[in-house]
Amino acid sequence: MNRILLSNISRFIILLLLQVLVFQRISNGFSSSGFNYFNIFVYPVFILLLPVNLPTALAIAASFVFGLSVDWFYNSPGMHAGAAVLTAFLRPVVLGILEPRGGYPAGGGPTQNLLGPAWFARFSAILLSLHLLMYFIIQFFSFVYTPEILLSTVVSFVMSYIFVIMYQFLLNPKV
Amino acid sequence: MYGLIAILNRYSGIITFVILEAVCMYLVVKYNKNQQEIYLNSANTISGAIYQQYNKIMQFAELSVVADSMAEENARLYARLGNAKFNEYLVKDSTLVRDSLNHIRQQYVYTSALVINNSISLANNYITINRGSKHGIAPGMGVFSSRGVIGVVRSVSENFAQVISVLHQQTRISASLKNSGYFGTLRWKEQGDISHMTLETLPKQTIINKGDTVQTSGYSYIFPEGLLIGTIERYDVEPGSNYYAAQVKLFEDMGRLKYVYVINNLLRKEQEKLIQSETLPQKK
Repeated sequence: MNRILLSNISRFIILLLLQVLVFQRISNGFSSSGFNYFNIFVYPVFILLLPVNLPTALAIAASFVFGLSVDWFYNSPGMHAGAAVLTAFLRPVVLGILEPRGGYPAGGGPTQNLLGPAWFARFSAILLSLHLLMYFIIQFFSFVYTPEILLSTVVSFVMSYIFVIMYQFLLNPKV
Repeated sequence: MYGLIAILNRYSGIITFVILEAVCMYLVVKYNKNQQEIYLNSANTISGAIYQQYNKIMQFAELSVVADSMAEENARLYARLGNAKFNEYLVKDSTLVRDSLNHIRQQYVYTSALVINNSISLANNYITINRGSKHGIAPGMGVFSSRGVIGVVRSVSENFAQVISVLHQQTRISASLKNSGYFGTLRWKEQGDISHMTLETLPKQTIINKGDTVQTSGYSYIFPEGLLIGTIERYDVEPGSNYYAAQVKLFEDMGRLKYVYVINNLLRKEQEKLIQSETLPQKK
C-alpha cells in the first residue's frame, strides 16, 4: 500500500517537473517559431497510472490537484485541470471496456509491466487523445475553431503518445 | 438517511466530476485572457448588440447623430484625396496616351465606423466596430483614424467587425519616413506600451532625424500612401545588422478610439492576383 502511494507521489513530482521544465520549453520553441498547433503532454501518465481500485471521486480529486499544479507553471488556471478532471472521470469507463479476462491485478495502476505493452498502448491512446481533445477545446474555447482544435489534437497526440510510451518503457514502473 | 448515503456513494464520481469541472471552467474564464475574450466574444452579434446599446445610452442621442454624419462626410472627403485615386495616365514612348476621359480612377473608398469595444492591455489586442458585412466590410481591409493607422479587419459578422489592432504581436505595416522616403516595417514589440511602436529594417543609409514623421508607405494593398502614424522618438542601428530600428511615438491614443474609417481598396483583387501569380508560377 505504502509502495503504491509512494510511487504515485514520486510520479506526481517527476511528471510535473518533466512537463514544465522540458516539454513546455519544447512546445514553446515550436510556437514561437510560428507553429502553434504543437504541444507535448506527458503529464497525463500520472492520471493513467493511478491505482485501478482507487475510488473515482478520489482519482478525480487527485487529477484536479495535479492539473492545477501543471496550470500553475503554465500560467493557465483551470485549463490543464479541466482536461485532467475529464480524463480521470472517463478512465474507469475505458478501464471497464478494456478489462482483461481475469480482471485487473489487485492493487497498483494499469502499467504496461502488469498488463502488457499492447494493452497499455491501446489504453493510453484512448485516454491521451480524449485528454488532448478536451484540453484544446478549453484552449480554443469555441466551436468556431473546430478545425484548429482537431488539427492541434492530432498533431500533439502523435508527439505526446511517443513520449508517453517511451516513459513507460524507460522507467517501466511496476505499480 | 442510509439510502441517501448510498446514493451519494454511488454517484460520488460523477458529483466530484461535475463540481471540479465547473471549478475549472470558472478558473479558465476568470483568469485566462484569451478564453475570457472568447467568452465575452466581442465579434459575437449578441454581445456586440449589447455594446452597441450601451454606447447609445452613453452618448447623447443628438450628438451621436451629428458626429456620425460628420464621420460619413469625412469618409467621403478622404475618398476625394489624391492618394485614394489610381492614375491611369499612360506615358508611352514619351507620348501621352489617353484611352478615355476618366483617366483618374477611384482606388480607395472609405466607410466610417464607431469603435464599440477596444482592448489595449493584452499581448494581442482587438477592436470591435459597428460596421459589418452588411456595410461592405470584409476581412483584410485596413482601418485608420484621423490621427493614425488603427489595424486590419480580421472577421466580420452582419453588423460588426473585429479588427486586429496595431497593438498586436503579428502586426507588420509597411511604413516610410515622410521626409526621406525610406521605408521599413512597423511592429509592436513593447507589450504594454500603447503609445510606441518600432520601425524596423530601415537601411543603414537612411536619412533619419528625431521628430521625423512616419506614414504608411503605400507598399501594400491594405493602406494607401500617406496615412499618418507617428514621429521618430529615437533610433539606433541594431547591433550586428545593417538596419536601423527606430522607436515611433504614435499620434493616435489607442486607449481612446472613437471614430475610425475602414479602407476598401477597389483594385485589391487585381494586386493580389498578380502577387500570387508571381509566387506560384508552376501552379496550373
